[in-house]
Amino acid sequence: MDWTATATAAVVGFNYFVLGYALALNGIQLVLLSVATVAVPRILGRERATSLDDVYAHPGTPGVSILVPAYNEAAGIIEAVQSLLRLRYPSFELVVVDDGSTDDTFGLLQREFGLVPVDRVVEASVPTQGAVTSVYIQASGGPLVVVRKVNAQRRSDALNAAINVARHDYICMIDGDCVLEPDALLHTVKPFLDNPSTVVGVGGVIRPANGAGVRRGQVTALACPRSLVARIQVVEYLRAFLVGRVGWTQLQGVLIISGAFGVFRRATVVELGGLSWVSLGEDAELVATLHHRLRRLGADYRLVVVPQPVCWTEVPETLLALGRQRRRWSTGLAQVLMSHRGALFNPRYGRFGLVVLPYYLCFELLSPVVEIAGLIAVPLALALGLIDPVFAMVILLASVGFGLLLSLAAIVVEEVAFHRHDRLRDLGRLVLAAALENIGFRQLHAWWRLRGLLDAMSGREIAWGTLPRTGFTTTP
Amino acid sequence: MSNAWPDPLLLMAAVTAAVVLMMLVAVSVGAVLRARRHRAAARRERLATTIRPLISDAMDIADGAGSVAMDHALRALSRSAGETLDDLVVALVPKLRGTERKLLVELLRRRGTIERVARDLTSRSPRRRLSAVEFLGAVDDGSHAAALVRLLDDRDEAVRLAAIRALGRIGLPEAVPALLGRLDRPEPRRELPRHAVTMAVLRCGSGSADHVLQSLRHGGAASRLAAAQVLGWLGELGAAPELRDALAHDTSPDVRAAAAEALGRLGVPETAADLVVCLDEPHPALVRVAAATALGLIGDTASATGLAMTLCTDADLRVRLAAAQAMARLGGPGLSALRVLSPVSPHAREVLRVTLAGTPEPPFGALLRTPL
Repeated sequence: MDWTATATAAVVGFNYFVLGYALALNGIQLVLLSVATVAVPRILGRERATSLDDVYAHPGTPGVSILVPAYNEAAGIIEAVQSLLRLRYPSFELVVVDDGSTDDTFGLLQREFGLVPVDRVVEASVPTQGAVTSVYIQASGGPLVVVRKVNAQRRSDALNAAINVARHDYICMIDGDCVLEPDALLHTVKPFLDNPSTVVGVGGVIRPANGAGVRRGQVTALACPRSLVARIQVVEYLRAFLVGRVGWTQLQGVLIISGAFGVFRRATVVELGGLSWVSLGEDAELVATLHHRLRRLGADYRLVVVPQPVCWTEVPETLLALGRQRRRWSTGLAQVLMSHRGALFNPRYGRFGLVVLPYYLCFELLSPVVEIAGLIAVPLALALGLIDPVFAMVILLASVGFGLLLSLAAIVVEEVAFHRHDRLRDLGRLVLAAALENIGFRQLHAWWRLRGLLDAMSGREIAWGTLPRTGFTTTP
Repeated sequence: MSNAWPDPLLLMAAVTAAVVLMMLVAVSVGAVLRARRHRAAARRERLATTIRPLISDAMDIADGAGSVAMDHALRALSRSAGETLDDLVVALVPKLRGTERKLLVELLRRRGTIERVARDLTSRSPRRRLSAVEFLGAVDDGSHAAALVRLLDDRDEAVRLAAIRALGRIGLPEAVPALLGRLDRPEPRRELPRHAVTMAVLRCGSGSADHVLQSLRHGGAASRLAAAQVLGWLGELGAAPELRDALAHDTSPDVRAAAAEALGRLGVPETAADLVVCLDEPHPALVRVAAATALGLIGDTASATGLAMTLCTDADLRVRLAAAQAMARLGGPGLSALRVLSPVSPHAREVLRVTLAGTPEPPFGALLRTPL
């Protein structure tokens, strides 16, 4: 066989591989969609069976320390803290860590909430890099505690400092730019109460709220964001949380409880040594470490993502900011998979080693490699007449068409179960964004993730960056 | 390449059409769902407007001469009107007490709704069983308590949880042994959450105290723990001797901590000496924290010395903090001791600072709570 024939066979073979890969990836997504579609009404039914009012009224409902790392969050920190202070939960403290902000984050907090310094005893339960310089509490007696510390270029370091300050049995880690639903903590603590011996971590569904009106710390008027970049992320988040993570919960394979909103037992996190200072994906690293340890111990455990929209966040509106964020996420995922490579394809780790980690390796981490190679190989093969147009169209349908179908299904699931968007026009805009996502955005996304993967492989140092915030629109 | 393949442009057009069609279907599904929701809400509201006066009339003439005619009128309602009436009554029942509440429940009984719904308790469909359990819990009808107790063992988790809640809402003390007893069942997949069970028992009120005490004396570790907690929350002063006994002799540290917490809630000064004994290191940290917190709640100044000793010598940070906070709660003598100790104890300094600033201590509640 001469080299031309070999090259032709390789290109054609690769095209078949791309087709198979797209079908496998979207097939798995379809399974997750089916599982999530069945699960959501059941979960909502179960929640109805034990009312949140009972959780609220029960004198034994455990206290929660809400941990909020904040680095240059002046644009939205006041709304975020106000929303957290209005949470409907019987007993909580709110620990905000001003991680060496260079803007007026602390000044705003001090003026708005009347903070006074206090000699708080801080237990060194988990190691930290940046030293705590001072601790403030509200003179009025509120539950807000503000910790000022030296910045160590890592979100995880701020969270570890907050874990040391926290004094409740449960900790809830959230981002400083988030606005929570009033019942968010009740929703997420409830799985711990319903299954006290097995549940070790609970996450909530994160939803973008760019352009939404916020009144008294609550999202009131949910409108579709004006920016197409943000609008596409609304669809992405629906697909990832409502379909992906709720589906994985049912299959007991949750790998990521988002750092934007997750509840854990403090003692468990302390036992694991806190959040990883090394990993950029410290949230996934924490969950993966939980899987790793508990599987090794043969423990019966569950990690849960509740489907209720509990946490509203501001997503990047520019491609530049989004690109940086996604690149960092990809690097973080690579680091997590690298640090748990011992469990990969290892039957000793059960579903975690044989299903979850291989899925994230093959279909999350390596997917940009296949996507970008496919973007080059398919048109090339088509131009050289190595594959026929129908075959190229089948590949397109398997990757783009199937993906679009999943996005639309996620939008419909949201509409059936939660219908948070008031206007039909917004639904139409989301559907349009789901289609437009495939033209340019998806390819760019693959490029960002590929660069993140390359960063991880090269061992390049990436610091905890901040996203440009515009803050929420406060409505009277 | 074969020439039999269709024209690529035609194919592209077909794919585009398929994509547009999918999008249209998604938007249409959304539009239809919204329209149905709005129509159903409007219909419910219309029916409710006509049904509300009927409910009022039915309650007025429940025992009067027109009750037979009213029965006919109630039974003659269309299915949707009947369902609306049931929904309205179910929503009203928890808001009322006494005679009015009884009349409403009676109204459902006269319509045959309660018996009809109760038949669903044995349905094969978990959804129907769940609805039936919720309905019976909401209308406060104890006539099917035995069936509800059986459903504590249902294979569906939501039904089990709903049965716990329903028994609590109905408030039958006789259901308490079944509720607490299920906590000791060694089947992790069908475990009943202690949180839900204790809420149900709490709802049964002080009338259930004897049953709860029985569980504290003779139950397994899980039910003894729940019983100790509930007795504290109920404020059952008569349970103090049993709780003192549990504090001193129970084999489970969780139960002893719960007993300490309960004694703190009861606030009986005679129990302070027992609690001071539990501040010593041989007792687990969980028990020491609970004992210190309880002493703060009781407020017996005689315990200041024991707490000060704990504050200075205990190896566990949580215990030292609990002791400092308890001393602050003792008032004058406790605060004086904290002042004396503040140069050597950072916890004393912190608590003094917070107390003197008039700020309540945020972690107090956390230390009081036994981990669930």
